[in-house]
Amino acid sequence: MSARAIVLCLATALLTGGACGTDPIQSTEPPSFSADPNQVLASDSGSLTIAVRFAPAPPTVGTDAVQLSFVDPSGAAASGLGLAVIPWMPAHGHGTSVNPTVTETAPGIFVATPLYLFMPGSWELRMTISGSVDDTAKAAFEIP
Amino acid sequence: MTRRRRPSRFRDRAAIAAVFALALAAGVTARPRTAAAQACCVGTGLVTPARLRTFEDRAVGVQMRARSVMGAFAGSGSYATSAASSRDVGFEEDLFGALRLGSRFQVALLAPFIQTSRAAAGTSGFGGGLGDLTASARFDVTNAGTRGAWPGLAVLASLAVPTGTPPDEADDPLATSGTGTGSYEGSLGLAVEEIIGQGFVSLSGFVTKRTGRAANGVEQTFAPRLSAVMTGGYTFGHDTTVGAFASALRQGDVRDAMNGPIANSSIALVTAGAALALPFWDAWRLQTTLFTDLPIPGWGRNQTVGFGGTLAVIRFWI
Repeated sequence: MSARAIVLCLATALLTGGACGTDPIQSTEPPSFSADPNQVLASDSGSLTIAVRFAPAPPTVGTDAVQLSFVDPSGAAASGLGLAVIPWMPAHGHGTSVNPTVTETAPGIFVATPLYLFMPGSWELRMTISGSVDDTAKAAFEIP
Repeated sequence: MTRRRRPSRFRDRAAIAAVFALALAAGVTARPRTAAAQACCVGTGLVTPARLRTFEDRAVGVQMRARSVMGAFAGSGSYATSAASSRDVGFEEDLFGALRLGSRFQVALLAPFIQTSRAAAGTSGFGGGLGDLTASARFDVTNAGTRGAWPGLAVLASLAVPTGTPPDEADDPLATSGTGTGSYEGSLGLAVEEIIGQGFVSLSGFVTKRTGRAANGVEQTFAPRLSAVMTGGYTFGHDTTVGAFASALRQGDVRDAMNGPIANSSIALVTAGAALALPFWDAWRLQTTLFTDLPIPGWGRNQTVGFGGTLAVIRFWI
């Protein structure tokens, strides 16, 4: 957004108490995830192990994506799951203005995108798992 | 992807802003009386423009504020500088009015209009709107400089109402139209002030409680927040005042409704700055500050670190 546009938006926001907007997201490339997970965690019940891979890795302020790979206690991919992902900033008590779309790309492997992590600090990805297993999980990470 | 829009809330906020602006305009056009400031009493509101000085009956004003983020504290207390390609600049215009009710009691109302400009990784945005309205009250038990060596002592209270838009209800991906916390915040405080010749020093301490918040399926509560502001300065014969201030805040870990305390979710920040108050004409005053949050590892948690300034123009009546 240009400086002139910002000045115009500033005046508009002052007069109307309203909002201006965000320039279109430029990236159209599908996210690329590394082979090594950024973190591995257990679901809250302990019945699932979750490998977390960010793109970019480590995550940065802006537009991010995450791949979440679920395996059962035998080490096999956990199939038949449903997943919802909510980005959350616990210290500030807020989430993001857009919740990511979650897509299962292979049995037990999900990609959540876009993650609009709009400010630095401590974030969480709060996962609600349904289907063959009802569970919750939370991945905590920092954005410098 | 799901997005939530609440256009009716914008109309509500615009209506509130219009009413508040009309009330301020009515105050501004009221007939003024001549100012007769006392040198002892002009310094102690140096960094709180919505506070009436000892000789003032009412005041209205506007304060403009700009702050640029240069880094952030992690939950562990480590500090990292922002990426060179990112931008996070906040602007704020606070309309305020203050009214004295009796010799010791004063109330104030402040309406912030907040704008944010953000850019990161090829995305940029600018937005804003009405923030959280704040009402405050002050009861001066004793006024500084009026009882010999006894310091001034005041009881403070404030309530912030969530009239702003919380970030997760913003209309844009970078949440630049987020202008509020989404919670009520109540504060109680004590202020101690001492006048030493033409100099002054004051210390204010607050306990603030933010109400719990439920959004996006997450429900959490917040620990009380402790904060303090120390100000010192010198008032010249023509009431021009210069000073410095430091503030610190600390809040404990957040509690999740389902899972209890969340580790590393406390917040802390230390800020320091310089201030100037400059009277002009008979009943006007300009107040300005320059400030910076201190990017010292361990001195902050879960807060962005920035620097900026404020400029307030105040019309007062005595």
